[in-house]
Amino acid sequence: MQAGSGKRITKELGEIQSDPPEGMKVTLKDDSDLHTWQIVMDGPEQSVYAGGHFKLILVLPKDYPFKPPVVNFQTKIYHPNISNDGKGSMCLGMLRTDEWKPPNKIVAVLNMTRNLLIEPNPDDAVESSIAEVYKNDYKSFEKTAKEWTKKYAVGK
Amino acid sequence: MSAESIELVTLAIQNPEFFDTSQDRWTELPANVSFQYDLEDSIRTLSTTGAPSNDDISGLLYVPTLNTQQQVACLQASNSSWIPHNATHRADLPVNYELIALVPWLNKNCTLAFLEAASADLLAAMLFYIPPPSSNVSSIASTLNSSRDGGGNGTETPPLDSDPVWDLGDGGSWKSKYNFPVYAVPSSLGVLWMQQLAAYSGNMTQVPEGKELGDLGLVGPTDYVRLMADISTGGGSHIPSLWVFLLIVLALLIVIIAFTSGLMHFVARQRRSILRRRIANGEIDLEALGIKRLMVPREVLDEMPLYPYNIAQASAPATLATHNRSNSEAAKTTANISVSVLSAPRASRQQTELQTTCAICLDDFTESQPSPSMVRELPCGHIFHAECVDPFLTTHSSLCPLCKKSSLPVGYVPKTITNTMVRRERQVRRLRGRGIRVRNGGSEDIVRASVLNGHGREERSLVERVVDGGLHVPVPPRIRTALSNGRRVFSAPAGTTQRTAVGGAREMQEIHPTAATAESPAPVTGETTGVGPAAVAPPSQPPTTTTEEADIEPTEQDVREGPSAARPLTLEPVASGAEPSRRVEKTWWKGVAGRIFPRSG
Ligand SMILES: [Zn+2]
Ligand SMILES: [Zn+2]
Repeated sequence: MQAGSGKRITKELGEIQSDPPEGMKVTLKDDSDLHTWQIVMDGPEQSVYAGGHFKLILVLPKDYPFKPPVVNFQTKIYHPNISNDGKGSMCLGMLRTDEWKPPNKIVAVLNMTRNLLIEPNPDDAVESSIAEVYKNDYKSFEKTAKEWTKKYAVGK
Repeated sequence: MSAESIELVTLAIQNPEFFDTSQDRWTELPANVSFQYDLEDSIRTLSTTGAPSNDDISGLLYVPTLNTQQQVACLQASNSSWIPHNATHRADLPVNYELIALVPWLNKNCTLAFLEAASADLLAAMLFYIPPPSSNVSSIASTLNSSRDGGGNGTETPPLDSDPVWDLGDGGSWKSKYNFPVYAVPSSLGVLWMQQLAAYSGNMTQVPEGKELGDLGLVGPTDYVRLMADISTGGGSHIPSLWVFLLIVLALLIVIIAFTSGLMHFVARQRRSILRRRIANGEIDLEALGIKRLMVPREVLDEMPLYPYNIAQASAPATLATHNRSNSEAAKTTANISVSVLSAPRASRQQTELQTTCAICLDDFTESQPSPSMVRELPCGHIFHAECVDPFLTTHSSLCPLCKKSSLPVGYVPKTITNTMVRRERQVRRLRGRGIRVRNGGSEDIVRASVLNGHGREERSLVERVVDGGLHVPVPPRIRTALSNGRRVFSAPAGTTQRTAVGGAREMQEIHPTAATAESPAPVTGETTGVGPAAVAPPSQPPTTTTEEADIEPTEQDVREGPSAARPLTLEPVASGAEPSRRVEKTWWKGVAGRIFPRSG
């Protein structure tokens, strides 16, 4: 199965690189390792993260596509669904082991991640304090998010 | 300590005047030549003052001596010979022995006089008896005497210690005043014992069977032959009783623990077997409920159709392919048709045809000779490269990678049902029970969902149906927007049911929001009913298209009329070859289930 999974990953990588999703640059972190992808995602224009460039690491498990990929934000980001613990782990329903389906593609995962930047989901938050701010004091959320974007995600 | 039994025996005691008495020298005489009596119950404890806490009380039996004045008063007042003149008195006993007094409770004054007199002696205990009303002492005594080996039966227990008969007009303080315990024995026994006290008071020649005792060499001519009483008190085992108590408690605890654990094991086993039965009945799908990740055993996998991909013949010669490898055109057509006609709940023929890509490796199926793709068809109708899906099913999950429908036969029971599974199943049921209240809006869809539910699970319980239905309720646009951002709709623990419908819809929309809107009113239903497995997108479509996007929403109409609509096409072939395939189709799952997983009842 190892070979088969490699083939699919190569195929997906080729598709993504030849027709990259909006505002993303996808490369292998290390050319010899198909399973670790490095993504630079531009903060969507309509979001509070606009102008930032967020580095993500996407790790494909050995038995991909049977198991879901794991996505981590390398760039610090002020977001209810992305952990602020230095790991930058992201909570995404479709990436949960029991919800993952092999036909799902990485491009879908990336698009979903991007959507999450546009519209956070405070009801399923990793960072509950940020979710509270998001729900109760959007202005303040917007301000901090923009500050963080400027501080961590611009010009790096 | 209260008395539990009193034993009277006759002793032969060496006379200390003639022998060295540095140690006790006495022997117990055998019952056949002396007086013995066992009183097992019928004893009242009037006072426990001064009673040893952990030992029996024993002493030589005697009658305390009153001063002459008292004696005259008491014995004359009672106008009888309750105390024979020759009863054993202190003077008749060797010194330095413990004593137990036997006294009739004649009246208040006499009793006080006896207590007073006894307290001057070295007294271990005092036994009272209330003289019987009858003055015919000898008749009572002889009656008892004749049956004296019968033990203490047939005698009446003296009045309770609270009875006014024991009142000495001092509010009971006499009980604590004298430093010896006081017990009461039945009247008739008191009379009998008093009589014996009179018998065993003199020298060898005067005691009953004295000659015989002498002849037997049991008693010397100067020995005393006297009665001894041994009062066994409950306190005799006072300290040991604490241990006994602890042991009993311990034993009780062990018994309780053993019983509880046995009960729990029993209950757990019951629950496991109930769960097993429900699974076997197809009421529960362990994996679809997220209770347990199941794998498909090789034997079951081998029963799933495996055949070379062939798009030109519009073929998904599903069930027959494994059984009928004929290359003839006719046979194949028959097979196709039988599939489309008879397997209505499965993939409609049209959709099967459209599966051109393997959703696992994302490669197109190839039909080019000499090596067409070998595809495996799951019960839901979805096909994959066998090399792609087989490892998935055997090592990861039994759910179809596309539609998450179980590929195991209905009623498949895993070899081991664990307590964890039982617990999770209960948990899921509770959560679902709650779910009803939350989402009870779409009754119409509920009905439809259960009708469309093509997995042959019509025997599901109502609750499950309703809740399943709840999951299929079309999601209003606003909520859908929220869903599209990856929200977990219900905050149930990982592994509950929500994955199915909602998850699918969400993913689809996240990727292509427009596609979802286009399918509006019930985009979710088709995804989960299993009637219409996803048709695979044509290879020409852009890479961002997911397979689900092309889902064709089957309507109830389709489902009902699908097979019959196909019939005209197939009239002739069905006539020629449908019979065998019909049989195969019907027995396929049951056969597998029955053979490999015999239901344990
Ligand atoms: Zn494949
Ligand atoms: Zn399927």
